[in-house]
Amino acid sequence: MVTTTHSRALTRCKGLALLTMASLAVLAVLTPVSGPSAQVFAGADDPTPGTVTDDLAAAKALAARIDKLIAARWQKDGIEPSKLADDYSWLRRARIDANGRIPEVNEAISFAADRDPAKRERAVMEMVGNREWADHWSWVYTAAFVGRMGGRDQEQGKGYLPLFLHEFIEARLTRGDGYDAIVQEMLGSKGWLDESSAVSFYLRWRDPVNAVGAASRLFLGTQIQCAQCHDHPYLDWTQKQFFEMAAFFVRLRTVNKKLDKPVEPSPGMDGGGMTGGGMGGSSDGGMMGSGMEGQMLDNIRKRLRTKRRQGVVQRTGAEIRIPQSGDEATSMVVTGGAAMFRPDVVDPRFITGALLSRKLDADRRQEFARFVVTDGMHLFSRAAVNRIWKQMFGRGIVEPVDDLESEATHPELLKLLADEFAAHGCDIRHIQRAIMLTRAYALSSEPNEVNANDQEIYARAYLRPLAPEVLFRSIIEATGSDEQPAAGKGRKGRNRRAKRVNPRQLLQLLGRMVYTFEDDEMAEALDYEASIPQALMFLNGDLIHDGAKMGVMGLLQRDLSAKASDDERISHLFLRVLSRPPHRQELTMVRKLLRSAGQSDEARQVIYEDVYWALLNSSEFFFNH
Amino acid sequence: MTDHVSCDCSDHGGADGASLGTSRRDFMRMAMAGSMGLFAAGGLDMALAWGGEGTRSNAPKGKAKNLIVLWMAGGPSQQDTWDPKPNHKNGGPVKVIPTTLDGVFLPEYMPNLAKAAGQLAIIRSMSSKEGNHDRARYLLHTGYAPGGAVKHPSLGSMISKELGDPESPIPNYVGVVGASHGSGFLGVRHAPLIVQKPSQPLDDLNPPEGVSARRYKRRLDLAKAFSGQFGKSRGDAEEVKERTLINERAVRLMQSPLVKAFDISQEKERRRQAYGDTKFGQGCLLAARLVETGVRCVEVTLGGWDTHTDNFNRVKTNCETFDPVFATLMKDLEQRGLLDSTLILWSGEFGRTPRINGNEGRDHFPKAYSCVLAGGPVRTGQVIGATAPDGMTVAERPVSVPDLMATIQERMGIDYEKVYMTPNGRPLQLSDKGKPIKELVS
Repeated sequence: MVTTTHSRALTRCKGLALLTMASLAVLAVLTPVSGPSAQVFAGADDPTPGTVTDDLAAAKALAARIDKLIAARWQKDGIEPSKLADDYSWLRRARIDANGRIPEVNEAISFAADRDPAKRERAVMEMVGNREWADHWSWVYTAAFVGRMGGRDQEQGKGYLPLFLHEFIEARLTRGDGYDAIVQEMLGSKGWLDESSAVSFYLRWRDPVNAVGAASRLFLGTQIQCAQCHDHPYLDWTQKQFFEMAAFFVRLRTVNKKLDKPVEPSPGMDGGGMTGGGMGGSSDGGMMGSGMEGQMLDNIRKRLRTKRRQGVVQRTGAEIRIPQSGDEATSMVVTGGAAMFRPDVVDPRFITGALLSRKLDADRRQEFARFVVTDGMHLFSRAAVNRIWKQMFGRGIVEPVDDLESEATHPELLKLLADEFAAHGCDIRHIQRAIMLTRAYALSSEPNEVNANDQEIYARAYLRPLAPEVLFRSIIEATGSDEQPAAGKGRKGRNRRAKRVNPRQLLQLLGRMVYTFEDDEMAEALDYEASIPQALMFLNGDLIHDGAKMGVMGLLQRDLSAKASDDERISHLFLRVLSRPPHRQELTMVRKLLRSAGQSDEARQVIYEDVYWALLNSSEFFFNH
Repeated sequence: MTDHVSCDCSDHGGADGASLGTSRRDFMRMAMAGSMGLFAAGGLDMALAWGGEGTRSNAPKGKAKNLIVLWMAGGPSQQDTWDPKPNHKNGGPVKVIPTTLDGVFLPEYMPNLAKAAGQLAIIRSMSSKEGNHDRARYLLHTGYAPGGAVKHPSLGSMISKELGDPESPIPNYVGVVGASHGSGFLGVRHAPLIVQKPSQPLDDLNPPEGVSARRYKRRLDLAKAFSGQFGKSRGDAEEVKERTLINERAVRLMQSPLVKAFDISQEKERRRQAYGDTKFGQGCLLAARLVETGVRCVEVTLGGWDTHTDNFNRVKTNCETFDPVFATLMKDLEQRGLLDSTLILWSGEFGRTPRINGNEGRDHFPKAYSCVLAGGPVRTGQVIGATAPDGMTVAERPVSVPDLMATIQERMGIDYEKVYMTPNGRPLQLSDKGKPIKELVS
């Protein structure tokens, strides 16, 4: 395999993508939920408590097998891995990957001080599976599945599709559903958006061709859409196969119905159609305890039931045929009672060869969804673990992340993870825990003499720019701008914390980090890489400037006693922003500045503010390292 | 370039324009322009002296310094814009009007460009294999199909690198409205600055209120010191260096008086009105101002071309948006003496199916479509190539995307056969084996 390089570079941008504008405000409100402090790492927040020890043992066993395969490659290439990262670096990396934010300051301090040799295991068990994890990973998947902007479709989407999808995935992850169950439910979904959040996936991709392309790419790691117009130039895909796959989606129809009068939701379907989970937006007062996302979705639902209702229905009897000249995209769908008897109509046949009979009443998408997690499990599991791996290491075992035809850097590892994943009920937590417990994950990002150029054997931790929402949550965490000033150390509940977050700033941040291409598909270009508009925002905008001000107020009035020494304050400040104490040189540099400011409190406060600002603008802060 | 010096290309009837490359005249013109700083007049004189063909008023005038790309995102329909088919059912309901060029017709909703056709070179025989937005956009921006580990730089980034002033406080490549393709392995120094709202000046150009210049400098110095230590400990990682560099460039931009070019509200009312108040018009005014200021490549996006449904109304609306603006842009640049040194490319990622689909729409069609070049440095007032009567195939003179790239590069005095070394040590030619369209360059 693997001679192909078809369609690589861009799928990567697509896989990333950001939040919808509408969702930004919501995210801002719900984002900074404080984790428990380091002393209570015990999986207490795990929504499905139970066999914590079994889970840990299984994860440790898998971690050891992963490490063996990774180390074998180091040996083969004759590359010495970097030293292990210290506790501060490891904790920061783990919090970012599991929970989408930097650690709390007190957590960083107590974790480093903790003498328990099993503290990392405890931390992993607490972080992976808690509520922040469900929120963060739901955004990871939402961004991958529909994009953060959710496509342009002005009449239908209005940018809130990702909010619905996030609600759906978060509820399922919180309930402890396997990834297979979540994807199967989503791919088989139908009904009104206000009753069934999962249909947001189809409202994003809309037509059969887009839907089969997205589903194959995301869940089977297969770029089948390339075969739409012609047989694949390098791979075995034929145009016929593309249409056989598309035949599963030909009866997909999205509707946007103008209402004459408001409609009532169907009984038991008032909360996002989560009939099984009871995690609907309005039923439990909203996600993350803030009530805001639930409230916002309630409002959107109300609007959908009053003016225009959107949803996914069956287009009964529709069939698909291969366009003869390759130029009449819409004429590929044929309808009418006799459609199924036409000789040029293509049978729905799954990628593995499994054939579905051409029955008029079959819900072919549900059949497709079932095939994905049964016949297609070898592809489904590979695509799933590769995405997790990339999220946690910064590169996939296969790149681009959703093209399994590309060469794997560690084929055996991919197989191991995929098999484990399938054997453990497609539990993404299992894979994540195992990864976080490996030695490879624990390596420093500081290269040694021989591994600075390594880009694929994990001999060092790679630098990864923070995703926009992670960056935003981390700025909030670092500056404490979500906390009640002078309210003491007690947490007064998430609502009160959340209210201090300024959604406008998140909007602005996303606006500078996500650009959309102006075609009807509204693909998203993600510029995680530095750009001038971004730089200007961080250098001159109020997000960082006000944050630094607020942070210093907290530092002086709340976090440390009036008697604290300069060194203690400097150290605390570094811990807050960079999640580590200052190096000696850094300490000296700041001390010197403070001395030059003299004794006036005001002048000293200005220095602290500037140091705070500079730390927030330092490269170290912008990377997961 | 030197490969072609000995090539005599006075023969315009050559079957394969691709093999001809740069003519002796071009070479001489380049030498002239380079050594004497002459562009417009020098180029024309030389053309007269050497070939006699320069008697045509539309002959290329020297080399371009600037490129303005009018990016029609979504894939504009060729048969409802530059290649109408009024006598074929594939042509749809579009009515045509004559242009200032004999036998060349354009849709009735493009009256301004019909009048200015003498300033255009319409290429009706573009052909590619990429019918997917992402892939085609990549191809049209870089000249390469996406694939492999190489992140190709966009043409704008190449221009920034080859022609841009490395010390310029404003970026040499600016994208207006929507995303543009980035700089690939050429790094952030040559990445486009994206301006999302052309009607507004850049955001956050001033230090936060209450922060004195002295304090601001202290902040920057501190941030640099912290970043420096981090970068050093990470083996001088490229990512860290780029972030530091972008901060420095942002600060230089803030401090430069040139930055006011981004603020079109400072423009005279009359000139603003000439461009109109559409976002695209404002974007083109911004492009003209930036080119005047020394920006080498500006891309202005007009979206809404992905007309799978309701093609005819949507295309008409879009044409009514760009037709007057495009004409104004040429006139404006001409009045400022910039048209001779500015190349304008009008293109989308592909064309649209000649056959009309069931939703009064047209679908993606890369096989035979149109794009347009304008500006002094190309021979304008002509149509290159042709499609079959039904529009389904290129009937004459196929032009590939790499050919288009090579044409632009050649017209800008960039050696299109130059080889870059990619970060993983692979040689990469600026143009993917493309050859300039000889009818345009001589």
